[in-house]
Amino acid sequence: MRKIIVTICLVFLASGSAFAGGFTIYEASVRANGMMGAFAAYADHVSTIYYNPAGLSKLEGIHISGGATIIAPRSTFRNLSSLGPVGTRTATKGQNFLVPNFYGSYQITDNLTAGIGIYAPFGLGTKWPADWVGRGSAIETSIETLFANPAIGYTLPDMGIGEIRIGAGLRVAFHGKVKLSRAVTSFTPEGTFVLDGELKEPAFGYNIGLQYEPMEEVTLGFTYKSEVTTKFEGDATFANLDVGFPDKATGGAEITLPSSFVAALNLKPVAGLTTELDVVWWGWSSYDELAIQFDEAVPALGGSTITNERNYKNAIQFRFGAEYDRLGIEGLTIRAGVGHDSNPIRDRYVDPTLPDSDRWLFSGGLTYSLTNYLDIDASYIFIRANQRKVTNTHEGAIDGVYTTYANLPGLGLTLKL
Amino acid sequence: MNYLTYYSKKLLTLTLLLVLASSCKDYSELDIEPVETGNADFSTYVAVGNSLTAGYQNDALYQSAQEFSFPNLIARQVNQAASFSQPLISNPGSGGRIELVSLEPLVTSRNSSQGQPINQQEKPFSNLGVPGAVLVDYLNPQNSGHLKERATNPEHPAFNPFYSIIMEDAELAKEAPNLHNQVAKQSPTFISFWLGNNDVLGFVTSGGEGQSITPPATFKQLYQGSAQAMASTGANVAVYTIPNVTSIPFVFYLRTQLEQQGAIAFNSETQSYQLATPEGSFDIYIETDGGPRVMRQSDFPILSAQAYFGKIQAGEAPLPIMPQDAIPDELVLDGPAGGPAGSSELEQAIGAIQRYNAAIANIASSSGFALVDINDIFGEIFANFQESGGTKGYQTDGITLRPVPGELFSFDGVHPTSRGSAVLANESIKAINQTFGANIPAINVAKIPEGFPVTSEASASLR
Repeated sequence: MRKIIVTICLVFLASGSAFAGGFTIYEASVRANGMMGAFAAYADHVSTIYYNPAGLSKLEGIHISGGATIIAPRSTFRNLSSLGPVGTRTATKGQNFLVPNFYGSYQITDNLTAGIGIYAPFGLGTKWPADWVGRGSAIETSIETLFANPAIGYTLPDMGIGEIRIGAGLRVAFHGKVKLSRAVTSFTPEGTFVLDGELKEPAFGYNIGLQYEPMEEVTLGFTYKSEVTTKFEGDATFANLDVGFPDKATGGAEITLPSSFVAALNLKPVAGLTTELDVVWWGWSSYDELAIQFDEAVPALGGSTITNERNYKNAIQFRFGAEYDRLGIEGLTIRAGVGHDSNPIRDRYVDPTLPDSDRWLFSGGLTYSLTNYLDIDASYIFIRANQRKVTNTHEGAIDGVYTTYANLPGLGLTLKL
Repeated sequence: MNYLTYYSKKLLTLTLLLVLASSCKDYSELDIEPVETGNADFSTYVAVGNSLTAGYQNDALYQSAQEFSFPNLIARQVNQAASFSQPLISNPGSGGRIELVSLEPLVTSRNSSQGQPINQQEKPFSNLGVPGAVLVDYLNPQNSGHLKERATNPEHPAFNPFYSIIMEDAELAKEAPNLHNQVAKQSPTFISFWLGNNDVLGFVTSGGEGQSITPPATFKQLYQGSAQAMASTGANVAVYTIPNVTSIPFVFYLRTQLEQQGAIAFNSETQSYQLATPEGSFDIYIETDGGPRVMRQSDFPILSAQAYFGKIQAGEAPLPIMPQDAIPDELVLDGPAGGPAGSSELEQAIGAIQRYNAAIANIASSSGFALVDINDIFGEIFANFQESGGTKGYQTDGITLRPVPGELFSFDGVHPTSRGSAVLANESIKAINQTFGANIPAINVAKIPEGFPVTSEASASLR
């Protein structure tokens, strides 16, 4: 009968993809949104602190920018598993996530600028109906993080080969929340498992960058963001699970947010037009398992740790954006962009906590300068994730077809003093 | 320059169009690949049987187990789940469900509360598995099986409330109601037929003291008639053999458990089972039709004797080491003990099953039915279990289901768990694929939730 315990353990808590590609938020600035995030060689806005700290040294005086992007993802699932009739369709409950950003910079000397950014680089969530066919995999999943990123940028002395800018920053995850809930179908009546966690202590990482501008029309950008290893801790509650579970337990998990590397090329082919192509590489392969450690043994789990293999692969994003400011309307700049993201989750591990898939992104945006000092920024992104059919999935996941799209309006202000 | 403006505008227009397009939620109709069912047609699937077909588990019929009845799982695999109706009973079901009270130590108890039938208006049901049904119920010629009384007269000693939950009132109002009329009425294209277990199981679960065994000749005749009736509907049919009683935990598990605990041991010198006591080991006595005698290798104290052994271990009942204190007959399935050949309960049961299965196999092959040889499959699982010293059983999808309560079998020791049902469905699919040239996909058994019933604080406080 010992086996009962072991099998429950196997399928119990597989929710792990909550920390996958689709939960990286590259929308850290309304202005960059318009360019579809192709921004690492761009050096005209203070949000460069996120996109490439080397861009800081090009900013003169004081820059302040704040804004928010609303992310409204919608997913549907159509069942192909033996857990319910084939084709049964379920939609996520519509959720809108407000993702804020704030940046400020101050030019210390002619070629040295310091700044700070606050943004949310990982987040989002899904919410499925409590009685849906995949409730044993996930009901509600959400994660939110806030990072502070003090940074400096420096322009190297002229060596006659064009301008070289470098920058570096400290990235501090200072706020984080995770929530996972799912039905426990190992028992009748079914129970519910809820994990509510918070970032236990600030976690640190860094970003460094380089921009090289051999001539005025061409800029190359490179930037690297390190991994950030975060520790989450919180309460696990076991509702309606009276046999084999405590009422409550404290659990923790270490989640390593991946490193990323960006190579960017910015070209200004004609007056007024700026174009940029960025290639973003995410080091997801470090995410091979998620282990949740409880501070006491849970009989139904046969121990105090649940380990769930994830085996992610690295992922690449291509982002292209363009900006034009000579429309003949004084103070108006328009932007548009297109991107393609590959996702890090192998088919076998796709689950409804985050039905990630490769996707196309399209953006539009504009800036209107109200005065010499104040700009209004607006952007709109539409994301269309490829329909993804997964079969023969890992324990805890469910076979079926996922469809996801998202709308992301954004609005912000930029102040130049 | 104009070109650039045009270019930007075009991108913006494209974006807007895509935003608008997002109002249609799925990108495309789900292209469900048709299941290759070969010569079999599952458009109207009707399942006939007993508790095993009904999805009965843990000594009760309840919704969350019925969801995983093997016929319902087959219906899902052939994309007919939406039209496959079952007589659902809300949790905790038909009463007396065995539930987990604690995992460590493992304690179970019976839940005395009952659920309610919830979809009676959907009659006639596609799943006509009636817990307790016997072979004669299928045709019930001239009411010779007394189905009418057993179904409608609560005073009848063999009254069974499931008939009226599962069959239509109009059918039960007839002089000689039967299951076949409920089947034929639905013009089935496919029938799964698994009756016959209770023709011997009632004898076994009562330690040979209750219902008598249907004589094999009668069984063969009834089966032949049932097969002809099914064939006349034009449906494709799959039939199932009757598993040997010694391969179900209800019969073998308690003895194995007691041996593992060291409470009893087989003494090869005396060829008898002995009870371990502080004063030493003593022969165990069992009551049989021929009077009390020593327990031998072919005698099985059945799962319902668990409480009896609990009492003995607690010192609340006399040790069964004297003929006058023998284990009661209804708690032991006794094997041959030197009486006339074939007279022991075990021999009677095994002999009947062998002849039943020979008849079933014959009729299946002459009628072009698929034969799901559950007896063979369970026999192999049991052999794996015994030969591996209790570590192996049925290996599938990365898991091992041993033939013990909590794995392949539910806590009642007779009926499979939800995963056990998935094994039955997969074995059915295998036979159907072979016989009808179909290619129905198998179920990933590891993905089927165990659904162990547990005593919740809510229901405990009601009692």
